[in-house]
Amino acid sequence: MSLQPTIKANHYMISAGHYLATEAGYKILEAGGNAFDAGVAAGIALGVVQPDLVQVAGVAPIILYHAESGEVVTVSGLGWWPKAARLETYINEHGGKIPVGLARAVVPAAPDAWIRVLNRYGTMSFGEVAESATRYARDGYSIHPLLAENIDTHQDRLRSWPASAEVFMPNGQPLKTGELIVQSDLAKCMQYMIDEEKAAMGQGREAALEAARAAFYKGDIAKTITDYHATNGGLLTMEDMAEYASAFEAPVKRSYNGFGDPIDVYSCGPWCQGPTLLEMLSIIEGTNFKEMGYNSGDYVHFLTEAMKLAFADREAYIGDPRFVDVPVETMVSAEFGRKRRAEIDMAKACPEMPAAGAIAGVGAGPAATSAAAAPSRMALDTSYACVVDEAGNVFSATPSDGSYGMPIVPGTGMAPSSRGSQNWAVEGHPSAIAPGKRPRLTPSPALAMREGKLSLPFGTPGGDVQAQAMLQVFLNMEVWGMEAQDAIEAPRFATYSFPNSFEPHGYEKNILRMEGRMDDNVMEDMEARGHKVERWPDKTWKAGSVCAIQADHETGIMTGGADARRASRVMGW
Amino acid sequence: MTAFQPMITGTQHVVAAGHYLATQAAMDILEAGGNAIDAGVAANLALGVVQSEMVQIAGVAPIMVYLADSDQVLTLTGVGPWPKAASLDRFVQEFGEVPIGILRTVVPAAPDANIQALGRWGTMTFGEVAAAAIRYARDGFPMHEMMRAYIEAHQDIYRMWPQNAEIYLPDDAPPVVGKSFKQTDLAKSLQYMADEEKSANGGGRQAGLDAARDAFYKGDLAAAIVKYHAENEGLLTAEDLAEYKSEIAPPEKITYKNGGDPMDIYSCGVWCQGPVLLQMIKLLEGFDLKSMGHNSPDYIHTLAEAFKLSFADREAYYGDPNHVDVPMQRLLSEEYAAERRRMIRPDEAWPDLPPAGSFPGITPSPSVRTVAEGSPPAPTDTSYVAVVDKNGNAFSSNPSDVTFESPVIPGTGLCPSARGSQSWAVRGHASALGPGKRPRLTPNPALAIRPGKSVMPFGTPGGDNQNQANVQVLLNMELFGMSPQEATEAPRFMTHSQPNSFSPHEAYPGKLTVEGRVDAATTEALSARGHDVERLADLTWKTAGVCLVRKDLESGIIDSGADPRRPSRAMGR
Repeated sequence: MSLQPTIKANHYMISAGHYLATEAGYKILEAGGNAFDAGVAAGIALGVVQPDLVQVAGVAPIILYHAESGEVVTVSGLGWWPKAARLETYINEHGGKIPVGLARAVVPAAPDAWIRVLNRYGTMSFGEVAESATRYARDGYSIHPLLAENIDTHQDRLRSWPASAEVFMPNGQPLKTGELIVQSDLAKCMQYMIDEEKAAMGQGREAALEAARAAFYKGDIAKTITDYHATNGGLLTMEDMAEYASAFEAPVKRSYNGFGDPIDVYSCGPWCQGPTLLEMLSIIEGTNFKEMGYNSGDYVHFLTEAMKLAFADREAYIGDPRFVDVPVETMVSAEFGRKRRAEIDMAKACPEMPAAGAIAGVGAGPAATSAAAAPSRMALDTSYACVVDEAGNVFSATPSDGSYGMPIVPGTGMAPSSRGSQNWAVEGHPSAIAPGKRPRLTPSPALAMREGKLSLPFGTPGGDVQAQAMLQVFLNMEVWGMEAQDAIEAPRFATYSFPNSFEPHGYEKNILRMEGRMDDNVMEDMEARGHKVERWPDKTWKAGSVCAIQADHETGIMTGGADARRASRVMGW
Repeated sequence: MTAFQPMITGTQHVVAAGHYLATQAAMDILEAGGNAIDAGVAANLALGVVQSEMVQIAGVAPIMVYLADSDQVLTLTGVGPWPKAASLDRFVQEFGEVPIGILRTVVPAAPDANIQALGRWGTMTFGEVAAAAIRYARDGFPMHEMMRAYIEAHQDIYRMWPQNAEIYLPDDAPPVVGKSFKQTDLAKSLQYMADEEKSANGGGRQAGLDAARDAFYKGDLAAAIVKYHAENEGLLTAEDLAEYKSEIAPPEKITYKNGGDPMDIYSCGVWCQGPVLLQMIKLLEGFDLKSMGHNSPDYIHTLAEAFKLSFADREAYYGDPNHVDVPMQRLLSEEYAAERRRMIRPDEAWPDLPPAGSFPGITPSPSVRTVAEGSPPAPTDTSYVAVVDKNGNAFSSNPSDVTFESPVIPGTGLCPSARGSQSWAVRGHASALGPGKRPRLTPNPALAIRPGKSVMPFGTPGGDNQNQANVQVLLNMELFGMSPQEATEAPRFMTHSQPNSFSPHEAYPGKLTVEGRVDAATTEALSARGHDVERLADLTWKTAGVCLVRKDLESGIIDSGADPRRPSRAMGR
């Protein structure tokens, strides 16, 4: 029996990282909005109800299926480094580090991504879809345990930034679980965008949406943010803001033949870690998991080693494809996968991150061991939302950017995208800093489709745990036949034996963390094979928080899942 | 212990209900500005659609409210009496029991109770609060596992009446989980009530509500019910329906002192089994349960014996207080509790129901029961709703009545209250049936209030398991410091020694069912004391499904619990 009611639907369904975001999106669906309207509503709401992990002015990578055109499209809701950014500065003046605060700011991409998607695929106004989020900010909501925990953990940092302290510690002390959090400045900014849209309504929906967008990128909000940068040594300029535009791009696709009926799995491009999930699938393709047994020693070991191989290649090759030649087709190919699989020793864990797979004509980045050795204490995190509507449209997005690596800009309630934390101040690294270049984003929404039969959007927060948790949940559904809710609740494990995506890119050599519900014998077995096993509690938010929808087109039944490890919730009708 | 589900907290309003779509219906009303009563009635009506196998729109709906302005706890006796034509002699002679079928019909009370509650304490129209229920009935909702299982278990009875089978066995088989389940006639009946209200709205909200009520009790719906009864040897007449009115009744109350500050616990009057909750708590107050340890053998034994003692009195004395003299004051007195406590033997379980207490001048019911063997079946069941709004008003209600014991009225989708199942065809029984007399209703909403400090509506479905579960959840919070969500999830146990409240009133002497999460050593220790222990699944709807909402009046924080054993859910902001 699952721990949450198993939610099924016949018309529409939404699953998101916080129940109030689910509520916001569900309200839009009930009002006749489509999956894109609802997804954007939920995405914006996540920036209000999980302001520790998601920023309204953060990143918002999106993957969507537009039923009418039959197209899978990705939206790179990920900003680039300001024009004034120089790698040498970080190497020479910051000692090869990317300091917390304005120095890690990239152009905020989420408002642009949301509004572009609304404009191209949605049916509603920004004001309509942002209504719940604006209300949550203005009138406040009750703090959930993870937000309270994060405020508490990062209170010293937050206290050092007056506008941040004002939001998270209005009475000088960290807000606690259950208490009311009000974000008046954030509400005012969102209301300003809504008002600007309203004023332009006479010129049609498209022009009005553009007015909302311009309010952020060219209007008062951009001015407040860039003025703050100018007076505090930041690099963002009005020009950086005004020029920003997310691209609509084709996804990376891998047809997976492992489970009988082939299934197409789509990820965003190598401007994020999305292709890493697909490479994991390449490596494990053709494996007889049933023979290994579910969550058995062989199963956990094999998947762990496969994940490590994929992370080695991520580290070596993935970077903004507009700046770096990423051999992504090779990385997700069956042949490369087979070669990598052959490197797995079933008896023994690779004691560190394996060497990257050689790819002809492409140079790998500097070796992993050059990364900082200290474990990363403070990986920022993120959230996730997916929606399927009655017409078969699918929305999958992983909005992100925390508020403890970046000050809230006074007067805005926003801590604009601190995602520069996912670059390297390392010469020759494929994700080294450069002006106009995008970070190697961890947030990576996914979508699996069996044409005419199944649409399956899925994703999770969790930084480097994302692809690992997504792989396990995907296998739970596709190999082990679990419904989404059970697949999500099942115990998980994660390797940390690679440089963390977040600055300072700590590397926890050979560490394998496993939820306490995993069999004791399997943990011992893993130790015996040479993994350094750390036992997590039975259920921890550190193992990610997956949301997924299985939309079965043959029965017309949608089955949803939301992860009880965090505040996620699925709702449908 | 960590909760399986995220605990929902709020600072404005929170609802917890037995099905997530009912929770959504209530949340929509709260967010639209409705108060706890508006939202609670909306959820009650929605439950009559999405759990219509066990909650009837034309069923019972006992309601308890706390009105913040007047600081009053009131109950509405939403349970109907037997028709005037009902004769105990006939049932004794002809059947010796209350047979399945039309003859166990009592006057449907829920439409009156819900509309009275709206009129007295709500702010909205019937049409507004019924909108979600109408949509779920008209356009369908996804079939859920618990409902499917109940329909499957009772499919033979559904087949007794083609009109029942047509709804509940749509393709001559139990519905498929996830498929859209429509109740077109039921939607029409509700819409008719809403339409009648609309046409009378010119006379003000109350006139409109009266019109909606009359549509049921005097209009076309009454006519259809009466006609069917006349043609099918039923007893209900137009007069029975037209005369029905739920009473406003004072609650019963005790003050519990073992959990810190004194807490007033309110139950409904003895027109339902409510006071047995208070008897159980009174008995248990005399033991140092905390030292025994949560769910230790001593703890489970002591609670189980207290449950049995309380049930013995319920069986002997409880009946409609308008017809029977119930020694309620004495049953709830300190002296009596002390006397009964002495009957709990620390090392030995009562092998059967212990004797009831004796009260001069009052003759106990004769001991009549059918002794059954094996596993007690899942109870004929019900649902529950708890709401607290931003002004501190609270709503607590158990709408109920099944559709697998009596005929649906063709063309209406309504199955009028089969609650006669909770009367006895036994002369001299306190709850013997009789014209104008109400059954001994199991559904019993409750409230716990620490004056000036906290308000907590709570309750559960589960027939005779209801108060056993209520007590366990309450003690989990009061003595063991669990959060409301943890408290609803913690493993539970149930005694089955009492004659079941439902006809044919079977008893399982000595039987104690225990959820699988209680360790085997504990259940062995219980067996050694003479309990006939049966281990259940880890988490099963056979141990009820508690929902509760708790407002801390000092901090303003509202927290909640919703039982993962059923499709219940909490939501709030």
